[in-house]
Amino acid sequence: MELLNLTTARVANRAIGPNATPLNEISTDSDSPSLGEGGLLVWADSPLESILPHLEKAARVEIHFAAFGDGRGFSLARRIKRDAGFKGEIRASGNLIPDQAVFLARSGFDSILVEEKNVAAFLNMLSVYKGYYQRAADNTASIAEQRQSKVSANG
Amino acid sequence: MTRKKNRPALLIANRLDDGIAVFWSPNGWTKKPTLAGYLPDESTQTVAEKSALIDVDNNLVIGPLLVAATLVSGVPSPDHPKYSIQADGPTVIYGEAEYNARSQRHVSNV
Amino acid sequence: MYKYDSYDQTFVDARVEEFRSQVERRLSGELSEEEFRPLRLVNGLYLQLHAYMLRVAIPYGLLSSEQMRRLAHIARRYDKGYAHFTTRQNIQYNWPKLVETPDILAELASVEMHAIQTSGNVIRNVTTDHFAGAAADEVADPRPYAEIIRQWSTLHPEFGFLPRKFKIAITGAAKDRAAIRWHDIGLIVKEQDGALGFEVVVGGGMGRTPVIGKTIRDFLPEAELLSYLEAILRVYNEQGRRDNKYKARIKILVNEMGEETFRETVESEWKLTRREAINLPENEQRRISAFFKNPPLPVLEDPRFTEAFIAPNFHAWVKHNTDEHKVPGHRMVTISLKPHGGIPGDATADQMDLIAELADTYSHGEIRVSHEQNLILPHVESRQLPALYGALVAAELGTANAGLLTDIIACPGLDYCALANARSIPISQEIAERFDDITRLTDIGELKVKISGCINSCGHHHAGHIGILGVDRKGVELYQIMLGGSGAEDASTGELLGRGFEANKIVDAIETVVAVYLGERQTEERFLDTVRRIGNTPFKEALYGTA
Repeated sequence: MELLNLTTARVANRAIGPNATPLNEISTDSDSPSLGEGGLLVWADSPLESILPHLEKAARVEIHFAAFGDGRGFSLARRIKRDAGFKGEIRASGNLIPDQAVFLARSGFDSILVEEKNVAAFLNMLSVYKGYYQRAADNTASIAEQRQSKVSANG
Repeated sequence: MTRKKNRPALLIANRLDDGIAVFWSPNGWTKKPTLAGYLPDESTQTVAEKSALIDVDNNLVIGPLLVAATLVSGVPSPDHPKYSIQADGPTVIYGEAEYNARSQRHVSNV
Repeated sequence: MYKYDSYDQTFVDARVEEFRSQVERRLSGELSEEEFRPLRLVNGLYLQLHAYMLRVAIPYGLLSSEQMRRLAHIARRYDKGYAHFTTRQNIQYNWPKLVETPDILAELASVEMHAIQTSGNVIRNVTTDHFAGAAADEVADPRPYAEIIRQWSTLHPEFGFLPRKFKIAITGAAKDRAAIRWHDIGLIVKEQDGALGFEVVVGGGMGRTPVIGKTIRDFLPEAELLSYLEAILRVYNEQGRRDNKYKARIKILVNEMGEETFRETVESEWKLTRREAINLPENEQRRISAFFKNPPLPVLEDPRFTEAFIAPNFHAWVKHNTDEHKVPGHRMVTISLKPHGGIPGDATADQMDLIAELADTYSHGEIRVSHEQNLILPHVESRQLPALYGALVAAELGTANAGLLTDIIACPGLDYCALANARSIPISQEIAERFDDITRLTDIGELKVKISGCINSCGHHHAGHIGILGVDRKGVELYQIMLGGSGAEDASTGELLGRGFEANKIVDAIETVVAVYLGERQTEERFLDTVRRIGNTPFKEALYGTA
């Protein structure tokens, strides 16, 4: 497996790190140690309320997609970033297709675990569009904003 | 994707590149149901199914399906109207031909 | 209408190239069919029974003559010389090749069109009143908002894999010509204390379980439109069912959560979304709105059409196929694509070219697609109606049946669609031929017949004054009749009369239903009114004997 960094659009295998700890295996003991470098492993359909208590101790959250068509993972990433203010790495893994690369990046994912043979396809899909209509979790300016700042720049 | 039936069948699919409906036959895929491979039992159906799945893997066809069929005057024909329609095309004339036929047929009152 | 600038054009061009590479990856086997299918669906490419089908977006039904010419060209070059206009204001081609679809999309992009998100589990074409901007009864033009929603929903990264398709409709008039209460989200533009905003209706839909949408907010300020929609979609994306395809629409979620809980969940999510930079900046909203100003339309006198003008049925055509425009001396014209014996909603490439020409001559180059599989020329000077009528009749486009019994909505049915259980086109043809008499049709009056070939309801039979549902019993096509449905502001679901009729009996059954109406109606009562007053029993008795 390779780790694709969505911000730099580069492979960053040194940063793969140890495995994440699955949500259902975490001790609820408040004295338990922090999750460690591997961070927290959740699924696209994991309820946010069950994740929130552990985010403080997690350096990273990995959201695993059992099926690429399960769109809940995108909203989950958005919420982890927005509602919980999570500042660590949000990683996508599991059954994903290259055509989802942009959707993942714009929904708040920082990285994707992909098979080596798919890396090129994922990277290609990241560079298809030069702008998007709506604001999303990645804080790229929308087309409307780009348009208006061009107008202002031209005086 | 395919279903086995305890009765004679034809194997129907759509071509990947243009979507046209085709029938499996030992000589290859054919648009004509009359030239389709008639599969009277499970063993012939298994042969056809295996062959069709190879062609799915080779990106030639999609959605292969075994459909119940009968010999009508010695010619294989799908039992269910849906698959006859899939084989023969819409039961209504359409497009320019429909326009011309209607203009010639009668002048509507409306 | 909205005009692309370089940002919009760059976007659709990129989309075409993305799809081109996806097709290559499919043909090479790099993408399996399972992986490719959602990708081709969000570019409008379905697989039907005997070919692919391409559904091209006509955003909120608005089309220029130049675009219509390109659609005609595509029909000739890449298809079999005709196309079909749909109940969601789109256009469908029935015989495109996968390998040529990227080229078709490139042709579309060159006239600022696309097939983005016309299928798949995504937000679909936003539809609106086909008389928007022209209707005399309009409160505010809904089209700028439709365009704003279109842009926001296009490639929204979070909502690319919803539990199921999502349909939004918006209206700005007292009469609802967009069936907003039958949509996942319906919006009614209204005015409150001098400001514009929306009534928000959620959870309408047809299919197996017809449901009329519920108002979850009486008034949403105009500027908050997108943040509110984002809240609804997020709740749906997270909580909509994914275990059962037939229970995956938002109407099921609203029902299972309860209307009140659903509303509270949306409102509490909205408190968060409205703090983010989701709503459109005001200057962008103004920029978009400016595209929808009408062309200059002079106030004119309405001509009196004397006997000297008479072509057969001209007066009937004016009465049924033209509607009151907000500018005196103008009419909104409905071009009927329901010639008796023809296929509802279909047009040949030649007819499409002619309509483009007529739009240039008579309607400032503007065309709309209605919700009833017809086309509209929105800004015609009344004094031009005789000339326009003559041109339409010569091309079999002048049938004077708009809103009447033979203005039938029919889905493509089993002749085309892999989902269908029965054919709908032949039935619509036989009904039209049986009632091929303008005097009789005028006497019967307004009567919306809607035919679906299966429970997926693409013919909107639940909202028909007479709804007909084709079913399959052991390989035999049967047709069930329901009465009293409506897609207007008085939305209601039709009620089933009883067991289905065979193909050779269904048209007689419709005659019987009409006969009961004619016998029972009071003065000025439309068919729908009579049904609502007397109920189904008299119809059941006439069809099936004593109940």
